[in-house]
Amino acid sequence: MSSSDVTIQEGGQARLGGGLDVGASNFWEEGGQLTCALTFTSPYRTERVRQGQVLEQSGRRLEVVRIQSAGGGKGQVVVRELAPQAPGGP
Amino acid sequence: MNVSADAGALQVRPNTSVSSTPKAPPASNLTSSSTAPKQAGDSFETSTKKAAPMALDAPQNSGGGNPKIDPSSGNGATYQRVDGRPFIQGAGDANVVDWNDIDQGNLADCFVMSSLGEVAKANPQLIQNAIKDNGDGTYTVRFYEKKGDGPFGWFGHHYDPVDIKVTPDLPMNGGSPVYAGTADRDGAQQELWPALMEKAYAQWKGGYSAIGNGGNPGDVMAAITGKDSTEKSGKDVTLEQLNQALSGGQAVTAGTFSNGTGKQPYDNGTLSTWHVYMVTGVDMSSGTVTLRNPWSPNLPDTNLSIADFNKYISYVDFNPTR
Repeated sequence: MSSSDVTIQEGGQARLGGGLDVGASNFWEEGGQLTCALTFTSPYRTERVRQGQVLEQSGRRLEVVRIQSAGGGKGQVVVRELAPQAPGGP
Repeated sequence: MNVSADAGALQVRPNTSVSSTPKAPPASNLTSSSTAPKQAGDSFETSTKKAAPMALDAPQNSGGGNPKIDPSSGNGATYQRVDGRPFIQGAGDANVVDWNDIDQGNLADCFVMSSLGEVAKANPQLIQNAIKDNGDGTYTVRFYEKKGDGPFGWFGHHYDPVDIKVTPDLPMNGGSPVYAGTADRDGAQQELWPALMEKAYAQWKGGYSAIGNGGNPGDVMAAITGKDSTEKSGKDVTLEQLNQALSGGQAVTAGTFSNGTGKQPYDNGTLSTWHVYMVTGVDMSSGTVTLRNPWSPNLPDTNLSIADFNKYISYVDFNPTR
């Protein structure tokens, strides 16, 4: 786990700084893979995500590193903020 | 969620340290409690009107220390002193204590935060009375503990005040609280009441982990008000009941199901599973119920028809607050 990884609890909301708040909920399997919903407060957006998915929100990029059971039936999702994408193509 | 095969246990995860009363059972087993407390918050409210917000005979938590941070949700947070005061009236707040102040963090304690918000909405003075500034950098937060009368509570029950001393040191990471947010600001001063009450409740119950796995909002509202909560299955609640409760000054919360697969409001993210919402309004003309997510006052409210409310809300807790 990278030091920049943030674990969001099912039913909880992490503050990633700069006004970027994201909550995690609705953990269930789809296609044999555990998925969950991430909800951004501002601007409001909710999206079902899978491990490895990269989201852009307010000009920032978040990778869904892992979605897992935290024991006791609770889920959690680990996200990592990526460096901004360089402008232009390769 | 479907992480565990024991989906029934996820509705409200048992946490015996949170309350002496039974946790919310599956909806089919829900019953209402009706035994009136012998004195409860009445005596406290009376005493506060006589300018004595805190009775001195209440058990005091002597520590004023910091409850252990939950390792799974803390993300490396450490305690830091927050410059602030309990109450600041922000823009859009109807009162200095306002339900808009609720901003849940990364602890799965929606049942606590929604309860605080609902009591703040129904009876803000009660929240103001619950926090005493000790003048030495600490605050004392008053809760009420349900106690049975006679052997096995055969002769009813009452509520005893429990005073918990806390400091304004909060679990912080990157300059932000990781748990309940500090709501409004006045210059550098931040509004502390939701975080202080969450911290005090965690301290009373044995740490943030003890309240970070769900629980019963009825128990929390009773602990705040010193009055019995009543719980009903979501499918049995009527629009009239909700309207009457809200207009009558009751605090009302709505808990969702733990498994939302294939249910539209959960599939499309309108509702979160295993979550407790504040019930903030009823529109009798359109037949809708308005819910607020304790995550943030900036999230859009959720409006459900009463038919959808009955279908997709698992349980509803009511507390009289007055």
